[in-house]
Amino acid sequence: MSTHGIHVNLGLGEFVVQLVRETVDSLVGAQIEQERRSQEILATATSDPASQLSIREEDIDRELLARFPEDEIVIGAKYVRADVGVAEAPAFAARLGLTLADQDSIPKLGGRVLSKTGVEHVRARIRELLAQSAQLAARRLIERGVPRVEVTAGRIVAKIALHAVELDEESSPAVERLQLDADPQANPNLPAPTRPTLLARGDAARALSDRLAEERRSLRIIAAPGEKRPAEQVWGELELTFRTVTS
Amino acid sequence: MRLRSVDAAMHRVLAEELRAAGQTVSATLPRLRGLPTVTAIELRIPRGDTGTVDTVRIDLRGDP
Repeated sequence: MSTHGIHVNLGLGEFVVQLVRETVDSLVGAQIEQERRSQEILATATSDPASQLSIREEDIDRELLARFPEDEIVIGAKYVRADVGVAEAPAFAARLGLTLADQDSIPKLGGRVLSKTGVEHVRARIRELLAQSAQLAARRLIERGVPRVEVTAGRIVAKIALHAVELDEESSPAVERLQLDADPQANPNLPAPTRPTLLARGDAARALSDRLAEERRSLRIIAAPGEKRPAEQVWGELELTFRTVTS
Repeated sequence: MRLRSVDAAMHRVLAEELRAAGQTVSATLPRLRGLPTVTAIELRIPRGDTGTVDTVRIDLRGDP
C-alpha cells in the first residue's frame, strides 16, 4: 500500500497506554481482594465466637437441616421433653449440647411445641458452633501460613485488526480512514474500557482515560486520497511484557 | 484502499507511536513496589500474503 500522506497520529500509543492501565488496575484489584480475604481470615481467627457476625442466616438453616434432617426447627414444631424412659425429640442436648428451658417450649394439644425463644436459642447455638468451627479452621490456616499469590511477571496479548473505512465527504473530504480496533474476544480477561482506574494521576491522565473510554479502543489512521475498494483487514497482535517492581 | 501489510514508512510511524506510549506509561503510572511495570511493547502484523510478520518492539525499563 502507499503510505504517502499518512498522518503520524495513529492513536496506537493511546491504545497501548489504556491497555497498560487496565492491566495494572486488574493486578492491583486482585492484590487488594487477596489482602481483604487475608484480613477476614485473621479477623475470624481472633474474634470472639460469641459475636459471630459473619455467620449468615442461610448458613444456620443449612446446618439445622444437616443436623436434624427429619425435623423442622420452627416455631410451633413438635417437641418432646426428655423424661424417665422418654428421649428428647428433636435431640438438642445430644446433637447440640443444648438444654432447652421451660419457656423454650409451650404446651399444645396434649404435647409441647417449640416457642419463639426456643427456636432462637437453637439457632443461637448453631451460630455459636459454626463460629467455633470457622475460628478453628482459620487458626489452623494461620498456623500453616496463609497462601499468597504474587504476580512477578507476565505478558498481555491483544489481537488487533487494521482495516479501511470510508469517511464522510463533508467531515473529511476525499480521504479514507484506516481503523485499528482491539478485538475484545482476543483477551476476554481484560476489563471493560470504562472501568474506573485506580492509578489515574493528574488531570491529563484522567482526560486521556475519559477520551479513550469514549473512543472504545477505536484507533484511526488517516490516509491520503486513494482507491475506494471494500475494506480488507489485516490481523496483528500487540504484546505487553511486564514485571512486578520488587525493590 | 487495500491494506495488506506494514511497510517501512508505517513501521517508523508505529515505532514512534509505541515509543510515545512507553513514555506516557512511564509518566502516568507510579513505579511502586508490588506494582507491575511494563518492560516491553511489541506489535506484530503479518506482511501481505508472504506469511512473514513485521515486528515493532520497544524495550522500556529493564528489570526493576
